[in-house]
Amino acid sequence: MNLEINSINKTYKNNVRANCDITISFKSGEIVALIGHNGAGKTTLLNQIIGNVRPDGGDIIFEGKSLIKNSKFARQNISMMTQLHAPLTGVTVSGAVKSILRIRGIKGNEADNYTDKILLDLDIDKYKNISGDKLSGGLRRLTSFAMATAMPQKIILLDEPTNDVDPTRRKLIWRYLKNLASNGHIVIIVTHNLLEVEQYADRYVMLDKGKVIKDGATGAEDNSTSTLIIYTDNKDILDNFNFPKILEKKYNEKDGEISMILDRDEIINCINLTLEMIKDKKISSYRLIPSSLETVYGDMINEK
Amino acid sequence: MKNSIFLGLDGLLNWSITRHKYILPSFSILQIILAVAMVYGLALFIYDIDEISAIYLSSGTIVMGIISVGCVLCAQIVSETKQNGIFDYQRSLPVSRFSIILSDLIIWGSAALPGIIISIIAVISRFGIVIHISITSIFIIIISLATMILIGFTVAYYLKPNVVGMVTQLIMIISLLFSPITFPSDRLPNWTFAIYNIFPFVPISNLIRASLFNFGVFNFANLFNVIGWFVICLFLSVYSLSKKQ
Repeated sequence: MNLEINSINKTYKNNVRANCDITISFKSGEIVALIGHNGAGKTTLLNQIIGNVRPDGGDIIFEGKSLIKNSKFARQNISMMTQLHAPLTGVTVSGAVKSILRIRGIKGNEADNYTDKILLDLDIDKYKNISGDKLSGGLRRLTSFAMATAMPQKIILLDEPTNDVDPTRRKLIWRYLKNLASNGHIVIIVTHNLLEVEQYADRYVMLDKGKVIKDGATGAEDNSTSTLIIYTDNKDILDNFNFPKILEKKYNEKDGEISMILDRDEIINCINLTLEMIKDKKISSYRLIPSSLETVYGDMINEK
Repeated sequence: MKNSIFLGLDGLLNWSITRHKYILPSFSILQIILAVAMVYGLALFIYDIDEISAIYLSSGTIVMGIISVGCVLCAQIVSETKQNGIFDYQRSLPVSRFSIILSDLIIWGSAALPGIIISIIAVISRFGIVIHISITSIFIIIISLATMILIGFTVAYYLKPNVVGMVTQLIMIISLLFSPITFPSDRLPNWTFAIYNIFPFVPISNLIRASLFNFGVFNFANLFNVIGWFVICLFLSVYSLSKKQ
């Protein structure tokens, strides 16, 4: 069960190019993160899949049918959490979830059971009788998430679901999505949180100016390099790090931070020198991180 | 039911009632206050009210109530849904576009009914006019209310929020002061006939006077005008919800 995006394009009336010849395939059982700058075309892509935005060209196929030509079929097979909060004013958390379940044809005890389950899974059951307008931004987001996924359809589209959500419940969201994926759903998530993408998503698609610039499995990034971040007010110590396999050196005066991309062979030398300088109080602290999606992301966008 | 144009209607109704459970009674109370204020307040403008003026004022009160519900309040409420994301959210739900319109029509139409009933009671109590409740008069009230609400939806769907407020105020002022709704048409110059017979406001007032007050002739041209506006605005509203960016 694949969702196929075939060469879709979109230019809005104000001549803004939202996407440009995008071809991607989404498989069931997989969590795919759409990442990229604001305005890269991520939300437009979700809206094209559910049928709210019509591409200028290309097609989106699911179960042999064009989602562009069959908007009703698209909406029946897709659960979507939009970027804005779902309308919650005057509705309790459980009331909001039950209302959406009722719209999807689930009523009575069955709706109660589905609602109780998802609120427990997201650890928000204690807020179930609180009106949406009295909730924090994070809890509203969680309620919107619960509304979209309490009765999940074959395709699940989520636009920044973990924004404003506390770290514990972020994990619960991702765990819930993992379960959905393992039950055969196609999960597509727009997010700016690259750390979470690395930890939980199976694949990422990086968009820039409406184009796919990278489509790959998470964890497959180049691990032959690492980034050393040194916190200091003394820019001059950068000159001491003159080992041959330091690939890049930068000083960020605003944050009092030196960052260096090191070849794997140079890590020990650099760490030893850093520790000496900490002893001499020239450096306050340091951090060594493997080359991450964030590094790849930065490189990709800069290259463009 | 899966492909019905009513798909999701009961769920949408339930959701709207849940969301608006505080606004709906306030909305009804506001309509009741408006109805009483118009019957008793407008009567103060005229020193000696004869029977014809009383009928015009009474029917005008009901019509103004209907116009204020549809073209002002509903338009502003729907315009707000465009700003706070409810409009887009509804579009992503697995419901027919017609059901979205119908559920809002039912909700806001029902909320306006207490105001209409109180207007009728106030009219009877203030002027002692005989009211003719019949299938025809009930139908005229329902089609008039639905048409005004659909005009409100159309205004809200197609215009920018800051323009919506201006247009709705304009409709209300023109209807109240320059349309022969609360007074006979012979008080206005003849050339104005061509304008207000295009819009449904005056035809609605003629139909309500003819059916509910048994005053004047029931003119089918008025009915076709109202039904025409109903159909056009229903089509435009459904089209707006179905339209892809």
